[in-house]
Amino acid sequence: MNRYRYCGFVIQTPLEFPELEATDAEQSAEIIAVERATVQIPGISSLHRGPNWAIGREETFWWLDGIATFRIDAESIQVDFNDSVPEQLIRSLILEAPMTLVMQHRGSFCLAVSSVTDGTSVTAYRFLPGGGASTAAAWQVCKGTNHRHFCDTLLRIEIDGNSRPIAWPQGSGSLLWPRSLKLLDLLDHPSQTVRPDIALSRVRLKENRRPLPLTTIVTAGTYRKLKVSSQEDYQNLQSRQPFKVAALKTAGRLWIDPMGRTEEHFLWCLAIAKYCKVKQGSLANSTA
Amino acid sequence: MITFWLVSYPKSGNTWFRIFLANLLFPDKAPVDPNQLPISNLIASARGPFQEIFGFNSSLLTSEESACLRPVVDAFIARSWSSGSLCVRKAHDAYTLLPDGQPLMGKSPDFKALYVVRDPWDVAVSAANHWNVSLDKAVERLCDGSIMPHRDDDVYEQFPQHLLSWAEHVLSWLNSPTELCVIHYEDMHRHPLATFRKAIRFLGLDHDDEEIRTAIQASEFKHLQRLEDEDGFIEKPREDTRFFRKGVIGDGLKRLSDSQIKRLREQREIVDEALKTLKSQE
Repeated sequence: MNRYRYCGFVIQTPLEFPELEATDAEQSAEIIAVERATVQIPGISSLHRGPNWAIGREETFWWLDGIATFRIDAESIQVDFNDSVPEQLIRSLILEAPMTLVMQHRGSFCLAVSSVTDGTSVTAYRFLPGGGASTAAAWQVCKGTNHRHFCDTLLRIEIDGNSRPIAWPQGSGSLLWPRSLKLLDLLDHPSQTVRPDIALSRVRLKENRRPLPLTTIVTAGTYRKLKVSSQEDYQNLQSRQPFKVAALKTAGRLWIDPMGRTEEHFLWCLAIAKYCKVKQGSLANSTA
Repeated sequence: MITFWLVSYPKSGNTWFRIFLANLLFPDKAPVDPNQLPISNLIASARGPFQEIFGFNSSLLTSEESACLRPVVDAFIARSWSSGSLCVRKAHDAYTLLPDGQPLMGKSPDFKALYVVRDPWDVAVSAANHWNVSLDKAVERLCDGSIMPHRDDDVYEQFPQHLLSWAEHVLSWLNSPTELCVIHYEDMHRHPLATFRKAIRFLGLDHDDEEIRTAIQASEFKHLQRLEDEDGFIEKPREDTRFFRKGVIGDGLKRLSDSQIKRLREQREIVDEALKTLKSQE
């Protein structure tokens, strides 16, 4: 059985995940079991159904037609897929929506962001999808000063005893396209293909391995000037923005209500709003 | 909920119409802030709603796979739309079929389309600025849909739009089974009241002429340019350019070469023929 570190959990699985760092985790680590199995979506009415998901309080089904079907609960992921589907794609998918759902079943939430750390706190990049957040985070590591990579797509955040948001490193590297690899001088860096038919690569950069407080969220993606005419406006913006960003950029946010996690999620957003600053970047400042 | 696609080839007045519509529907907010329209900004090709609804990083899929899932997203958005509010969404895609024979842009009667057509020479000049390419390259793209970038070697905020050539774009919608209303950008300038009235009647709105006139005035191009200069604009392609550039008729005829205009006139003639047929059937 293989064991890998991911978002502060240990994935225990007969499958091999070269994307992740193997671990001989301590006994106290929280374990998520991942296995290949036959999965059938039940027709029961207690599941809240969306276009590719059926959410229940105890178990959830998530699927992509013709690619894979997943059954997820708080402890495990079962995946059913055809042998014709590239295994790299299945592994990459497991690390996205199904892992998000496992965490939600456990009462943990993630921001859908890329992030880096300077060793004391975490800065998250919240851009529009496809807007260059992965590249911006990788740039800080490769070209910036003394930063380590923290996450690429999912930033798990737990609220500590002092109501502070503590972020856990994702540990699955950075997904970058050829243009970004070139920009970051990473074309010769060791990398893994995410699937054979697209040019997206997974690269491991200098990484942080321990949880740290989330303090800053950088937003960007539009050429819009921020309308701030007074200090009062600025203060209002600072109090509103982090809650809004946390709520809207929660990974899998549509699943939280049907799973019965609304209140926990609200408190989670409040903690982020209390301790995090939102800064506005621009595409010109990012490397997109 | 019926989805009305507000569809056009890029740079054909789509955004201008949406701003007019926002001013019409929300007169208390007129003139509306183009950066915060009180109506939806969900373009059909947006990656954001796709990722939110499916809950994963869409760059893991090929553009063909993601295109096959877009109708599912659009149907989900329509089902989730607030009852009582009009579901009008921007689109630049041509009407095309997916590998399974299903239309990318959804089926009638759940999806209807208000199509804005603009003279291709003016589209070419505006698009060259928007795409940051030469006039020659823009004309080439308008005349040959196969050369539009559609690769899985990078990812952008939107999925690749299925544009085809300019003429193929118009014809794809004219020949589609979708219930359609066609308006001309030039008529939005020359005969604004009649044109905007025709468009909103198609959307099922019954505003009177005075309300339409007021919304048109609140959406004047010069006003939009001033707002963009003051506050920027979220859809602007680059820092050093304007989205609301000129908004005039015939600029392309002055700026393009004779050979470029000849190529675009050929495109235009194909469309004119189809539009004549459509008009005779009305």
